[in-house]
Amino acid sequence: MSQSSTEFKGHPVRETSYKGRRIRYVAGQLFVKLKAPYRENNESRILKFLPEDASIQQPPNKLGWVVVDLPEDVDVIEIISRLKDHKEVESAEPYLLESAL
Amino acid sequence: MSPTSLAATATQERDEARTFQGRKLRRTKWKGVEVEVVEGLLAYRYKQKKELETGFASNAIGAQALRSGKLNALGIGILDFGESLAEERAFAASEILGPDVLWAEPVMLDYGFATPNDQFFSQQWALKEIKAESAWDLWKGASEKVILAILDSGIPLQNKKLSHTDLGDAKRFHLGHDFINNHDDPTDDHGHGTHVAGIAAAQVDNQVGVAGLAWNTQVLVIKVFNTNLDGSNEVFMNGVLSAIEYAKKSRKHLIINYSGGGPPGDLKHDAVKQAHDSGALMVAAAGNDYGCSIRHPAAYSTEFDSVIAVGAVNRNRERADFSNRGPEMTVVAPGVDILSTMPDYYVTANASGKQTKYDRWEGTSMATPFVAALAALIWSKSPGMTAAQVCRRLTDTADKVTGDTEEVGSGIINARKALE
Repeated sequence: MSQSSTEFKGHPVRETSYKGRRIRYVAGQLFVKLKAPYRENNESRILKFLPEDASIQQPPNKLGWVVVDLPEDVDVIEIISRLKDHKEVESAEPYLLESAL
Repeated sequence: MSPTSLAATATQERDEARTFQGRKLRRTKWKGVEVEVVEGLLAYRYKQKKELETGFASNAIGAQALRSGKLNALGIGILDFGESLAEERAFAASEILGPDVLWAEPVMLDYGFATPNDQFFSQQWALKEIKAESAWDLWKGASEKVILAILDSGIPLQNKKLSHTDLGDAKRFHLGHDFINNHDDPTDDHGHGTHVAGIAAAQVDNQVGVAGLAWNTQVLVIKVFNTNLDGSNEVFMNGVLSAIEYAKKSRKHLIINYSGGGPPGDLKHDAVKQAHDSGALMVAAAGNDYGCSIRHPAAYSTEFDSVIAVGAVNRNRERADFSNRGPEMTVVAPGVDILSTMPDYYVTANASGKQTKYDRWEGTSMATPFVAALAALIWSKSPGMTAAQVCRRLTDTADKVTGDTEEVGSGIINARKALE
């Protein structure tokens, strides 16, 4: 129907295996959600689990998720696996791409 | 007796006070069947051609025949009582007309199928297959109760104005956010979203183009796919939250049409749960991977009873070879050779041979808006229903088709049965 994007919203798109599936994801971005209750300093709490060059552009959305920006060469899958072991983190996952059908 | 032998043919009128040839219509039961009768008229037929006279039966049924029409070629006549005859009085008339009368009955309305005058309607095989015409005789939808949010690649806009003749009614098509480019101009730069929107809601009976299934339904357009038809877990979530917010503000039931899909994930699951908890119905495409497992969010249908996974069938009611399969499959709808709207300007899809304005497409993406549109008709007819009840209505009234439940779910949707 259409060619897949090599970039999405200005970020490069990569492919890898994740949870037994072949996925396309945006390099240099991931999603994190902390366990409730949410607090005003959620961003700083999340950042302390992440590399120094990580940043968060916006506060958590209504469902508690934040987008974390990282350098594009950082292995987000490896960071996600580390974050998931942390007791305060409810979930972390890549910026997953999908398509119209 | 022939209950419809003298029934008048009429098309459904949109006014609330319905009339036929200047006479009021009234709903009643005749021989246990709910019918619409023309007030004051009684049809009769004698064994031999014989006209009843004006004034006949006045004592017997408590009404006076003001006028007696000439018998037609079949020997059928009409008595005009000038007032409504309740069911029991009409029955009484059939009794008292004597042994020479074959039958007598109220003049009942037949309904012509609501065949729209859209230019390409005859090529829209899918609408016939799901019994849309006879369904429209029952109900054409209403604008007050339901909003159908189409999360896709957008809608035709030029200079920020709806530009397609069939998708141009600003009172019906509401412009939501573009979560790809982060602004409020969801212009379709691919064509997929325009095709999906046309299937669900193209303007009907406007003499041009195609007819959409959800005749009078309000549509909210939210852009979540880019020019290459890529979306993401993030834009899906944002699109869903935005649709929920819009529906809440406008106090309407929300149906989300998502003709897309991908891998499962916590973010997407959270968004679907939020939609479910808010009372919304989500209709999503199963996927076009030739029998592979059903994509998400459609595959959440086994966890949430407000999620519908839609597969595709062809003209022969067979599963389309590309349609995915799995225990999450809910229903199927036509998804092959589907004629619908395309943008009235050049978009990405034109580079792969698609025409401007109208063209055919295939995919579970195309099957999905038929189901979402029918859900909109059902919900607007019965606004007291929950999303799960609308879903159950769709599955309970679907027609069985060849294939196991993992391929075709409960079968192909039947709009007529769903609206009866």
